[in-house]
Amino acid sequence: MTVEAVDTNTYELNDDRSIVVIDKATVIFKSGHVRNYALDSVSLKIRRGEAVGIVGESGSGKTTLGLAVLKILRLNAGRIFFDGMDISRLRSKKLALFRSKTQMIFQDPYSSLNPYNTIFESVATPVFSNISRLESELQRKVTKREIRSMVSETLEKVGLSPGSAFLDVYPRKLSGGQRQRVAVARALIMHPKLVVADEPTSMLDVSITAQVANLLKSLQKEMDFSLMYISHELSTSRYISNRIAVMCLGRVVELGTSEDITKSPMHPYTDILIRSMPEVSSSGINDSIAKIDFNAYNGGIKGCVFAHSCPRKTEICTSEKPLLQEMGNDHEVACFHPIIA
Amino acid sequence: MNEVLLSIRNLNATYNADSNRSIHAIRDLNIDVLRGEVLALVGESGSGKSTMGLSILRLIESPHEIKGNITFNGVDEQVSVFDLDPYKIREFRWKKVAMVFQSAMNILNPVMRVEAQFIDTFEAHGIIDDYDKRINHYLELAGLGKKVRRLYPHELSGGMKQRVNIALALSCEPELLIADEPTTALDVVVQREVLYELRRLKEELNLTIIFITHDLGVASSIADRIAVFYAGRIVEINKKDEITNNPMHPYSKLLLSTAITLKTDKDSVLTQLEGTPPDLSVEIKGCSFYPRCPVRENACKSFTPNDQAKGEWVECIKPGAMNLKEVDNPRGERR
Repeated sequence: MTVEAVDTNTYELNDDRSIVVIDKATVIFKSGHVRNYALDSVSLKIRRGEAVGIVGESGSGKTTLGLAVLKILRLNAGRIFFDGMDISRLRSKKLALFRSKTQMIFQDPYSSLNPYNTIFESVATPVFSNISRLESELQRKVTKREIRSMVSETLEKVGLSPGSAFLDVYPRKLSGGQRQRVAVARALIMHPKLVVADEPTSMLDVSITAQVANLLKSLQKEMDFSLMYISHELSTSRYISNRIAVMCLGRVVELGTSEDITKSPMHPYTDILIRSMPEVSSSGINDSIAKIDFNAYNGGIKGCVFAHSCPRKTEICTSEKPLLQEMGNDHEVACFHPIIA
Repeated sequence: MNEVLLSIRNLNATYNADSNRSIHAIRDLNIDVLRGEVLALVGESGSGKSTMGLSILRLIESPHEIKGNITFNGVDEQVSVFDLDPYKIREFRWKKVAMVFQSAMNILNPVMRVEAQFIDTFEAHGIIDDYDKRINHYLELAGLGKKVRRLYPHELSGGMKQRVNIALALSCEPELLIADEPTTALDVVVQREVLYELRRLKEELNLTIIFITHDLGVASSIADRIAVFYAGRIVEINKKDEITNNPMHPYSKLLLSTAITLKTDKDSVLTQLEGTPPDLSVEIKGCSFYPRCPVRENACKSFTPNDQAKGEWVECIKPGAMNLKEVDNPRGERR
């Protein structure tokens, strides 16, 4: 497998401003003799205290990227750095520390909480797994009462107040929105530096989506963690994130501030994505925009991943791989014929 | 356009979960569906919108109960759905009213080729000739090629499966198509294509469509009229433009303002709808939205409206009274 150079002159691996540096990460899923490139040489930096939205359709590799950053999935090629450390080399104590500093919020709050555990047990799990480190930092024993007050404080932070009233409740007593708040509390109790939220609102009703979006946004400011917000939904991503990376068949095709991406997309794929979004008070659908079928492709394509349905396709698109290029104002696009307004 | 195709009167649907708990999913619902329109039913989960779709096809069976009156004014005959005998209801289903179900992925039989699924449908509904021509015709209508016929469901993408479902639903030439969240599991680009296809088919075949969705954006891009469901009743029904530009019911208003769009101000705090929908296993007196309503007053508790069947209708004591700015944070809760 050949891995091409990604803009090497400006790409620094030890960057103090970034909490996560992803360098040409590649993940291949094999099924039989078919190789599926879930991630195809993805490079991306997540800055400290920043929210990055990862947007793409199903199968674009956005969840895989989230899992790889958390060291839940192993890379086939490439490296990922967290706080300057190569995460593939982390072992024992350092790995435990890494795990406590990175957390995930899952899509489905109905299955991500153990129904046999009370809310206290669920939210306190990260505390108990790190108890020895906590105790050696504080140089004294931590009592259960302290942990209980810690949990109830965190619950209040996520809007479940009074927190003490929720401690001994089982998840079945809670609504979907409340469960997702509990999941957020569990992710935040150890004050992580990075939170990966994988479609945290897609299982929830419209009115509750707004609650969770407000919560994530305000907590992210308040507690100053970096957020990787994975979603297929552009409008929620735009609201929550500072920057958005658009993924398509395992590659990042466009990266920029969320305003730039949604107002003046440069990649034809992003453009189609935005024009396809159903908007309230639209005038109705009278035309067909594009027929896209990614199912026939496994990634690892020689040329551009979008060449098969791109309206701006030329010969070069199928023969050469477009690399992310800086277009000004932190806006990068991987396209030979970007849309320039 | 103004001919009534389907009229539902005093519909009540009850799910008997166990002996001491029954959930009133639909409470005294009245609605007229007009011939040739696309009517979108919008609401949160558990608001009764899918149950209404299932009731029309009489797909809710014992121990669950449906009561009321549904009259279908077909081209050739008028039928009262709840009075049909078991043989007649089979004829009514699919030939008069067909449904596209929510889970596109699981509806097709995984061990049958696409064409076999069509033949299955034809045989079940007494169509005995021209299989070939018919299959090609309906696949083409749904925007699929002939080569799909020989494929198995696992060889199709989500969008293609949903198109096959639409083609199957249309294959007995129904007058009314009920589409229950047909695009929820699909990606945005594919979703738009399916919506476009449905809209085009509606014009081409002079269909009437009841489109069930929780997504206001989807509803407003396909519908002529929108009915907003809350706790088993329609709280507001009106033309699309009226609902999206000038909602009168506090719930519709809040639902619209909580939806995040590309135009949402990034620095603003989103309007939240506090609380949860009411428990439908206990009887609700007065307005069902009362506990969550920012502009409630005492009179709302005893409010009992029953005039839903009109084309435009708001189930509120003082429609349009709510000003969003005043209730930006109705309970002063922490954000």
